[in-house]
Amino acid sequence: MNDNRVSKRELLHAIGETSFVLDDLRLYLDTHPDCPEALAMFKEYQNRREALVNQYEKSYGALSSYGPNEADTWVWNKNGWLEGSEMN
Amino acid sequence: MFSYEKRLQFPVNIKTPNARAAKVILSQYGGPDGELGASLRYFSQKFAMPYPRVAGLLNDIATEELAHLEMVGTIVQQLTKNLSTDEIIRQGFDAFYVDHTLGVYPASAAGVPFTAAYLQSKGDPITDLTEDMGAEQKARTTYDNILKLVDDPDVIAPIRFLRQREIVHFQRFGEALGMVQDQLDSKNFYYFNPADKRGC
Repeated sequence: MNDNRVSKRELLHAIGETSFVLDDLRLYLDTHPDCPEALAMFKEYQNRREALVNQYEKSYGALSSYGPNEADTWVWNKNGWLEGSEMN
Repeated sequence: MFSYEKRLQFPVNIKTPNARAAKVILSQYGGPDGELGASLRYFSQKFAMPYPRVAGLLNDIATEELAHLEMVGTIVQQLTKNLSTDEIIRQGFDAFYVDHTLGVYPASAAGVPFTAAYLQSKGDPITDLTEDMGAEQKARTTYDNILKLVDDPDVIAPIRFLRQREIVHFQRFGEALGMVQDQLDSKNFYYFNPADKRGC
């Protein structure tokens, strides 16, 4: 069916990785606000993350609570609350 | 305000339930050096922090600690999923089960419910940041101890991640303390509270 789509798990993994780079850099920049390397890296990963999140939300619905709902039903709380659960 | 993302900060995929491990890991949910206390401590301290950059750091770390709370809750949930009554009794989970079934409740490994007495918000930047550095070390030691008690690689991976974050937070709080000290009045040799205009 959805052969060309990157799997939900793969996308979430990539989003998790890029987000973590930003999570760590944010704290570093809080105490090193003028570090040019960190500022450039933050920008780079922000762009990567944005593209991945857009791709995810197009296929699987909102990742963020402000994300889109394109279906005729409300998708946000339908699933995804219990990682690894059969009810997921 | 806060917004939510429907994902964990680091993946948790535990295949083998282990109630004994769940019981000790629960301490990082609602125990004396756990993630709930950490988040509440930094979030509360930010309000009286007069240095914007340090208040921002407190807010950012408080936010990340909530993501860690979610990871620890997920670990406990996965470790207690599909347990038989016999396993609950043999793995020492019966005392928790009788009060909470398989609900995740903020308590220490020894069953003491979470209390705000685990944390301080002293309204003194130096006092608060010194506590925060101690808190990160205590949480790191707790994760070290958990790593000595568990042997499942699916549990070890997220616990190691959480342990590493304690080390990074300790480092950042140390830098923040330095930032506060750099801005002190040169006559304030003994680090009196720079946030209290009444002096000492």
